[in-house]
Amino acid sequence: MKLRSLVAGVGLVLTLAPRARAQTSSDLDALLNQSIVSTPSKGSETDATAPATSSVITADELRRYGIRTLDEAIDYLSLGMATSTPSHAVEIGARGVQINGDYGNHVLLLVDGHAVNEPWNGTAYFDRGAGVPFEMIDHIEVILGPGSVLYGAQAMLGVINIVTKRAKDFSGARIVAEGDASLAPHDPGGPPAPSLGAALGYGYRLGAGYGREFSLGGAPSELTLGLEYYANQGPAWQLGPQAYGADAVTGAPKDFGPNATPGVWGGVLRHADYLQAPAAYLRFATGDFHASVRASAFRRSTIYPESLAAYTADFDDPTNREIDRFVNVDLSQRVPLSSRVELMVRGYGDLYDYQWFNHTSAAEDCPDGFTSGCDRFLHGVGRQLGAEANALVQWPILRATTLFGVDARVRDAEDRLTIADRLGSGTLTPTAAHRTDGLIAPYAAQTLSPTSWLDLNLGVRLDDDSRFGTKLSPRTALGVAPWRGGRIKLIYAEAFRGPSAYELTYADPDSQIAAPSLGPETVHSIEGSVEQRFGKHRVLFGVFRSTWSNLVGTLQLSQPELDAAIARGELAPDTAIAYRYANTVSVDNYGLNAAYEGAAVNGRLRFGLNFTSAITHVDPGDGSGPQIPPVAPEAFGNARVSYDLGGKLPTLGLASHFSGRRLADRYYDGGFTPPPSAPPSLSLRATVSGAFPAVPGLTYRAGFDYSFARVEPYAIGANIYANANVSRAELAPTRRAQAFVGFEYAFEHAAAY
Amino acid sequence: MGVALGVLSWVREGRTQTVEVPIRLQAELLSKVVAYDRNYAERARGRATVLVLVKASDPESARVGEQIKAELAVLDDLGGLPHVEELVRYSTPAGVAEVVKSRGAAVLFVSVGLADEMNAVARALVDVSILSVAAASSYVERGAVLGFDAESGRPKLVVNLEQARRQKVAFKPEVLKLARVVP
Repeated sequence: MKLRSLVAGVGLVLTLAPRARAQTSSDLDALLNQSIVSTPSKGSETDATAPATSSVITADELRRYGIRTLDEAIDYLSLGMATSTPSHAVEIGARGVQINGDYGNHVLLLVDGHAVNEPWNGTAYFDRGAGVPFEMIDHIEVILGPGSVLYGAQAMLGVINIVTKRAKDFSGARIVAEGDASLAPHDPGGPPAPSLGAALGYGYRLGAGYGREFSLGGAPSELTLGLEYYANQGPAWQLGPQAYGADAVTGAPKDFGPNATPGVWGGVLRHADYLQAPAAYLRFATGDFHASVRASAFRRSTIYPESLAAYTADFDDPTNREIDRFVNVDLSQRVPLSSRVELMVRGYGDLYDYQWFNHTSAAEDCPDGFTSGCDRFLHGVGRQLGAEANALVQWPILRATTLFGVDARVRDAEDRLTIADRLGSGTLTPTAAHRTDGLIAPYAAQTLSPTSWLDLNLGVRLDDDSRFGTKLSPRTALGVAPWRGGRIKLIYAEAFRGPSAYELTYADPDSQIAAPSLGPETVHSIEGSVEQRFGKHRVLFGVFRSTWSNLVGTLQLSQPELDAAIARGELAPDTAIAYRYANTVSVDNYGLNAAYEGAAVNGRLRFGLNFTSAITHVDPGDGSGPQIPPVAPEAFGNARVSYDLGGKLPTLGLASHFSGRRLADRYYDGGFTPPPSAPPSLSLRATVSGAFPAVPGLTYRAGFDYSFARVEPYAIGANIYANANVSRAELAPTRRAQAFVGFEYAFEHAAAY
Repeated sequence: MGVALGVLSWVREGRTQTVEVPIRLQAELLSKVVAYDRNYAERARGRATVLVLVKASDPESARVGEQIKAELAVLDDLGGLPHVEELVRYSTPAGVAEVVKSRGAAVLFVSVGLADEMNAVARALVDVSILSVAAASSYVERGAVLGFDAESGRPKLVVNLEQARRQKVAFKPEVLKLARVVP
């Protein structure tokens, strides 16, 4: 009790919570406003007791704030995570760390507990590419910090688990139709602006769903199914003009294709901004058996050249594009062995492929002899089969549980890069790689709750991975509830990301050699938080520190290395500069999180605020020393308020997200004057949602958002680096304004009237 | 075909009566909700007895029962009163009613594994002053007075008002406005 008293004393000094609010109704409200999470411990628990800092985004919040994609949910509603938007897909970061160009492979994305980061490069998408029919989402768990203790690789920045609805909450058939329109910012210094009608972008989403509970052989069973298709044609963008000058090979003005003036990149981009994203998800359960199948595709254009998807490309060329396709299957069975032991066995499989198409008409962008330009095509494939078994032992004393299990999988990945002359007169010998590997990973976690106010959680996972060897991922968490409604957490955790098959094997004869000896990236994190609940209100304040080591960066080959690579035939004979991946980058990061959420007027008025401030230094390992990382914001957050007018009237919602100044991706190495950065940004979204009183089963929502930001922190165009003609960077423009309206018709609700 | 039938017959043996809300949270909620029952104090007579009903042949039922017993045991009070928990094995509906009366129980917590028996238990408890609480919310439709469901990741009280009246449970309006009431 001495410890408890001490902690309580300290806590009372720290907390601003009302003292001695002993009203039972307040306590009940506080309990009913807790979130139930399943991600931190692979089991159901409240977010208050879970060994992690988390935020839970409910389906109701998605509706009332007009959220339509996972990245919107993260930006407008989550704590500690934020996204930014280059041309090809959003990037995600957490607490001031964002790994530029990582294709989302430092955040583990789960759908009902199934990891969807693919086996070739660890890629996951956090926008339309997440590939889950949106109306199926029950809630989204956003877990900050390392999560490898139970999930293995990828869970460095955090874990996001999309939990879909049970059949009881998704019963009957339903259809969804939604449309949107968007507008790019007007650039008075850019090319002539198109008319409003020509400038508008548009998109639509069609969906259908079905859910049913039934009995199969006497066992309670259920099935949910969702189908969705989204397509978007972007607005007309005023880009450039960027003077480039002569092609280094031909000496003529550089050719940017038929939609640009030779030697000048830019104009009004009308064709090369589109996106298509079909998705399907099926979940079936009977008794203690569960099965799910997810299939999705994510096809989008590379709107303009930048440092992520394409360094070079013709202007406004819709054939520059990326396509990802996913299929994920998960089967599991729970088997209660005794009153103390429960077994879970699981099998899973994943199929993935990636296609990258890049076209350029400029000779200088292509291998020697390809004077009319070239087509690059990269095809990556990943497949994996896995099995997992674990046992949960419930001990009769100390409210203790022990979870131990093993996860094993075999992976097969291959890629092939083809470069062909644009006229079809020649093709370089394709570079191709294929590897089969696997891992086995035992894990264990012990929880102890000897009293109602103390929780201990200890866990460790050992990954033995043929890609890099072994990696241990421990986690220790202490939770104390020293006073009414309060909780203090201290968490230490480590996580890793193994090198992907792509990083180990990718090579380009013009510029890059393979890096088969890469090791795992590692993060160590310690954090503490104080949370206070009083009735429908929750306040959280936390601090964190993380150190990252051996991050994969791009290292320029020294002259001897270059010569050796040419001699081995890994690079073209005339290659002057080339790179390889290496474990060179380290990060030091610390900061604070704060959150407040509450409700009033019988729950009709809801509001919330999340804020994160972080100080981060990245050492690229090239001798340049620690520097503030590009792209990642040092301060960011969101705020929201909504009011349910009640009765047949709609719910009004207003949400915002903001971030501080962000250094552009080419801030340090672009050579620009001044070094480019994106100024502080603020986005607002107003939403109205409700049901049509006259049409039972029909609901609607409509919204409008406006971004005060003009640019994202990514240099684009022909001059990603400064040159003799250009000293100022052009940054990726944002969509300035968007509006949408959507309808959902639930047949069962209609029939109930 | 034979394999499929075999699998199907095996699957039949499984049962899902999902516990949507963590047992620990259920215990905490229960400790607050009982105070909203106008007859709770009279029923408890200064010290609340909680019977935890389990199906002996069902390991999951026993596991959940043991867990709720352990979670309740660490709580300082149950609706402001001291309390004691006891595991009871299901025998017959009448047997359940008898043990409730003989022990002077204030709360009957029904573990999972008793879905098929819940209707009969509810009928046997008519006119018995007892708050019956189910670990799985689906039992409320079958006659449990109170259950706990999860809606979009948040706990929700589920109340069977008609059965509450039959079992002399009188919830105050404050708790009913927080609950989903089933017919």
